[in-house]
Amino acid sequence: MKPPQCARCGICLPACPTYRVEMREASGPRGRLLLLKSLAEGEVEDVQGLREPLYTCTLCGACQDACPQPLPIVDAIRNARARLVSLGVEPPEAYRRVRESMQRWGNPLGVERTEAPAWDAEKTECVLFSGCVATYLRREVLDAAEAVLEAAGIKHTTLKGVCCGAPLLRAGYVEDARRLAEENMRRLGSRINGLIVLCPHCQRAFMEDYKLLVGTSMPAVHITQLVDRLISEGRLKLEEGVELRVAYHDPCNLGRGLGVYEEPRRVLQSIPEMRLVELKHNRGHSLCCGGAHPWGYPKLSMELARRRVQEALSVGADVLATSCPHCYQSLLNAALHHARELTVASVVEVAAEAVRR
Amino acid sequence: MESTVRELEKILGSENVSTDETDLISHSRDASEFVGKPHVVVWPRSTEQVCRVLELASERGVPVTPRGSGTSVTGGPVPVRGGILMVLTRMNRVLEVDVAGMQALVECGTTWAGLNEALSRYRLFAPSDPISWDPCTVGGCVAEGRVGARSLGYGALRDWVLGLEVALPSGEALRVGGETIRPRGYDLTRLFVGSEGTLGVITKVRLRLFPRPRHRQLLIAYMDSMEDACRAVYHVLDLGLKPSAAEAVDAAALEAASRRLGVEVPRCGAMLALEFDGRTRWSVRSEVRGASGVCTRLGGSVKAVEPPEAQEAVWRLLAIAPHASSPDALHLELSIPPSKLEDAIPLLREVASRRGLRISIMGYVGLGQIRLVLPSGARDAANEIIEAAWKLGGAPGEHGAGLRFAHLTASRELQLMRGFKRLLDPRGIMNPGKVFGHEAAPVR
Repeated sequence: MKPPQCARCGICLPACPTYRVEMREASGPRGRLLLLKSLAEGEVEDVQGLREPLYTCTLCGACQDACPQPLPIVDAIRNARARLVSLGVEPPEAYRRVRESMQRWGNPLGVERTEAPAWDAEKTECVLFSGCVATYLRREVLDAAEAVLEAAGIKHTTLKGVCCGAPLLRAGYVEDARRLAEENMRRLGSRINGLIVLCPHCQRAFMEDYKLLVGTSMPAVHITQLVDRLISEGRLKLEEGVELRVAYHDPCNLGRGLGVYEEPRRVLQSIPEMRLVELKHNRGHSLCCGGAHPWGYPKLSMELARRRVQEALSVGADVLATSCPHCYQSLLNAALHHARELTVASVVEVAAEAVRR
Repeated sequence: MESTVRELEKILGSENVSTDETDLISHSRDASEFVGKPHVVVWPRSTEQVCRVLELASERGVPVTPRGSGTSVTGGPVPVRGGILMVLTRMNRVLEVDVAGMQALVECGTTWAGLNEALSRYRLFAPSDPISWDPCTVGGCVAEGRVGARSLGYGALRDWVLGLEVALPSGEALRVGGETIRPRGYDLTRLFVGSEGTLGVITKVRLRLFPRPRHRQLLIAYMDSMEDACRAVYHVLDLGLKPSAAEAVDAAALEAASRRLGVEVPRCGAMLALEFDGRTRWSVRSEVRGASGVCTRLGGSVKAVEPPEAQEAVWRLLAIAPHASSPDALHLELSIPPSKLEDAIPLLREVASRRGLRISIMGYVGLGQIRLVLPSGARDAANEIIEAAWKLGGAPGEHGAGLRFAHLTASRELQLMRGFKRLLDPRGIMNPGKVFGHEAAPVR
């Protein structure tokens, strides 16, 4: 497949989180595209050597927003990973473990499956698809979502312990992702009226990736979008004051990916006594928190998260809130190491705090 | 070369030296069509390391090509003779900010975005162009002798460089200029500004800074032609108005950029952006009103842009304009004597159209600094355009001579330049192939 033709103007460089850390061409979009061009032209002798440049990319999409063309850089990198896999070049060790974990436990986290998916539930108004991280690592996000939905009287079935397939697709295992997408669509597609997700990776998988993988997509609403709607319709009241300065970290997939910038901010602003402050890099200029690849490159991931946490401290935030369990996990990790005074939370948790009991 | 790589690893640590194919390929190009793969890529972190690498390279006769962010369109950082590619982006500290003296000492790999972020707390700024200069390094721009939109209001970059530290091929770290506005003897700083890495590696830069303006406004004027945009700037200056920046793009570039950003712009022959800054909103508005009158009298329609985000959007449009139409275009940057620019533009267009080429033109019109975007591979047309520009007294544009103009340097000056080059770089290791082209002393 021919990679997109890049003008090499370099306007993307300040937007790329990994280039900002490594200051190295092969860790930035321009260098990665030049490598793909060379690969397509048969000029790369050591194809194995492409693994690091391709897998250190967080697929955050900031480069393609900055690009004058704009080039579909994220798709180019994802396709190239898949192409390497098809050529027999395995992804880095950590990504191989993702696949093994998926095969064994049905999640990419290497965590034993303790949740049996409730596929046989009665037909309900909607399904809350909890995703892997909120099921196994950050259960408080799922608990908060349940509490908020209950307060608003939303009947639903919670589907726990099922993966959307996004981690497989990111790793380059397209066929594995396709099989999982087919299974999920078969089991979910015909029997639900609405799909609520806690993770923007899941949301984009259902809404966009499935279209490419199995030809049909499924509308999904993020819990933050739903909470915003419930508040505006008067079905959910956040009346309990939370006297904190909260900064909001825009997750790449929810913000740049799906254009959801204002809903989480409106939710936070509707909480009495809460003050929303903006990070320096916000909305479309948000920088990846490293949550995208904690497995493959933990040091790089931690550095990206540390920079976000530092931004939050520099605007005097008490809480750094976000809407993606992956971001949550990554930022929490960085705060524990570098900024213990900062609390990291998900927007839905903050909202649940403000529901009067 | 293997033993050289081992020596480099001793100097820099193995994590700052690479012969990985991925690093060699990814550093083989800038934004021009020129290609050259280095044998080894190094990322020094201090002046001392740069000096020791140059000393080693001199000893062994290995070419060294310095590189900042690699945004040049003339092939300047392309290692056409292989050897060592020295990436300076990891030397990126702001070492000193002298608030009272309004100066900063920075390492060469500091980006303009990084510098201005560091300066924001002091209410000072370096007048780099917004967005288009953000990824560029201070050292790279100084080495290219870069000019930008804000050079109209704040002077060219060489006017704000007070002093330099330069690592020479002998391994010596030379300091020229300093904290004073005037040097002790010859202005050697200016010899290195625009020397394109052919004399040594600029490792530190002492820059003059400016107070951050309290108010800023942009005036956008949609003119009938680029020539009218040039005329408008001259009339604005003639009236005694003081724009801090001026930049214009023609209809073709404007259309591509506005399509990319999904913004609508009125039909016009060229868009002119004039920036005014100052201490009070009233004084800035008054300048904008004056410039509006000029543009309107010349048949333009005008719009004042006040919110900072809206101004940023205009700068973004200008920054992407050269690259929005085609990813493989040939970029030709020229300096034309400002008073001749109005006549030069139709003349250069005519040269291109004789060859059946559609080109777009943009640039810092008040300074005679323009960029022509030609279709990919139009090198013959480019050479013919350069020849026409030279007849008008033209010179290479904002990214210097690089490889593109290397064969066109004026001969008498060339003789003197060669003398300086031989004095500082006797073995000809520094960025061979650039500026002097094939006339440069071969690496021995």
